[in-house]
Amino acid sequence: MTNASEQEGKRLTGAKRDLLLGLGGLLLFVLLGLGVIAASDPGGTGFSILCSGPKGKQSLDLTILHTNDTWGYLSVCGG
Amino acid sequence: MLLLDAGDSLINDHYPAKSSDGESSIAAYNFLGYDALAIGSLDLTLLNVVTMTQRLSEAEFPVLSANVRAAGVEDLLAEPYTIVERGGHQIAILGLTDAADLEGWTIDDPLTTAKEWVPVLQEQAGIVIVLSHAGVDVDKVIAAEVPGIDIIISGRGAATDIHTASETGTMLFHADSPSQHQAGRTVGAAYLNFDRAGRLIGHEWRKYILSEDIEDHQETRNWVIEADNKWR
Repeated sequence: MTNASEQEGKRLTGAKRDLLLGLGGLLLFVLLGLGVIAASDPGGTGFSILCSGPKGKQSLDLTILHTNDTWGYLSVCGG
Repeated sequence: MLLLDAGDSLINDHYPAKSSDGESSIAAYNFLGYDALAIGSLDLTLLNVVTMTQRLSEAEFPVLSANVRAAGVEDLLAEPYTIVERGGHQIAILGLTDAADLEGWTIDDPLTTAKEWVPVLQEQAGIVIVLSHAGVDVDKVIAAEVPGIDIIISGRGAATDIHTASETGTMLFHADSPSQHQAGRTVGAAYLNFDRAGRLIGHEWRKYILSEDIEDHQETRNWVIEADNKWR
């Protein structure tokens, strides 16, 4: 009886070990996959999953031309 | 690109703006494709409510002021702000007028007005620009005390060029200080870089002084000649 119990215990322990190893392997696979996606497509949707910032937006170069107090003058030399 | 004017640009002592009650100025800005114009107290001094309302109706761009009302009227004279889109980013532009005691008009304090409106605009846009004729000294206070403003385009007062509020990081640009017979000669140019989240991460600013050394744009020159003949 004792031998059967010990064998059963060892079998269960081994099963738990196998389950943990399997889950760990799956997790490693998923992380590696996300890393590949990120490295191959830095500006796209995949990368945005990992990075902060609005999805789909690009940086902006904006030029502002501005005037003030022109007084309605149409000629730069006055008048 | 945005083309903006920070106010007091409708009328003063020269033709054709003087003889047309600012109609030539609105027509010129329509021709040039301005994206927004703030109202200044000089505009309100020389133009009454009826004429200002007429000028606003002629503009093909937003004429802005969040703090001006006709005396005894609850509604604002003009739109307080506008939202434009550039490169996928929503940009809010708030208009402010300098506080002045003018017959026929009620002008609220621009600092108080900015504190009320900027949080509202932050909910609608990732970038906030204040187009202000409050005066560069008042604008520096607004920059220091009102968080959430990326850029102030400033009018009125002594030319300051560029200023950064240490408290908030808000940048202020001011192009010109006019004098009699010399107005509209300076154009400010801000070259700005925003990251994907709409945060200002780089800038360069310079001003261009218009003079006879710069070759005329022929189409614009022809337009000016026709305008002068039409309204003088």
